[in-house]
Amino acid sequence: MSRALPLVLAAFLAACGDPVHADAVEALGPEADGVEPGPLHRPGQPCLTCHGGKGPGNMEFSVAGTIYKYADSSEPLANAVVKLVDQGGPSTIVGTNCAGNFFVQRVDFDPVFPLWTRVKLGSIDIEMSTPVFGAGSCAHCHSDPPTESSVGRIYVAPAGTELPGGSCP
Amino acid sequence: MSSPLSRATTAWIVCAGLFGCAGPADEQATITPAPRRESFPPVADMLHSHCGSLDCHGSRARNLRIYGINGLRIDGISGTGPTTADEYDATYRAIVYLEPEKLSRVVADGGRNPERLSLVRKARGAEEHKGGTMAPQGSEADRCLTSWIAGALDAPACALAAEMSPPEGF
Repeated sequence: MSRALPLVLAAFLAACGDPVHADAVEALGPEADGVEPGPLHRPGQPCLTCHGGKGPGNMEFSVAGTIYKYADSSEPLANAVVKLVDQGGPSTIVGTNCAGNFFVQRVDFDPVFPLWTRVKLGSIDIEMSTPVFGAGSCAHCHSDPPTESSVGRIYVAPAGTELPGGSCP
Repeated sequence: MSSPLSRATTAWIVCAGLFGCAGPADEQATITPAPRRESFPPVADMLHSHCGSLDCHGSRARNLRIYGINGLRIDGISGTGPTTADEYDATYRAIVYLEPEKLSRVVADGGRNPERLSLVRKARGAEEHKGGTMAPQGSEADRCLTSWIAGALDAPACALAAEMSPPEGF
């Protein structure tokens, strides 16, 4: 009986889980029609909700997000380069895919905040005006629409600017 | 079975009880002595750049909320327009009502031993703080905050601390 107690306790705790995390995952809603779970799914959502180490996403990210072409459009910015530099100097560079998504696995880059970021595409080179202090999901602060608690989506150019195309097949 | 007199007495007791329990309205609440609101904006700007991003104390989920241009706004869209007087007021209240009695004692003591305040200890990294050490003891940010509490604002330190630069080569 005494040997079984830890197992019973562990099973009980596992069943309880983390209700706050479970609610956050559920609030993201279902996958979009025709988009399988993977690198192209759920653009604009807070990636680390599922990929922050608590699941249900398998890969754990340290930083991830979505870059758009314009503030008022959901056109993704493909092939942009995102540079991340942490407080101590280590940096990493990652590209956006056809959904505008980028992600950095924690095993590859585990930054010490604050974290400075910039986005480059051709002659466009934009540095984020403030560092990131702790949230690895860009959408934590860059959700759409802009509000008192959000600066809106990450975008690189004013509407009407000619930018390279690129959409997912 | 109550007489008019006992009803009046009961009503009086209820009223007295309610007034006795109620705290002062926000705008009436005072802390004496308190750091000066007039000299607070440079301190708020420093706090905003070090602590007030939307993923830290610029979040509505936090009890210590710091308002400002690149973070949480009272009314409007984050990132647009300079920090307003109302936002400085809101941040001031958030700071001074964290530990009002302790803050008053530190102010009354001319700012001596500011580490009595959780705000200072957390900023210095002397107490558990999710954001880590944001204002090491003796840094410009630390001098900005503690000089304001002491009633002798070090404005140049605040201005220097409000500028956060990326690492070399970025």
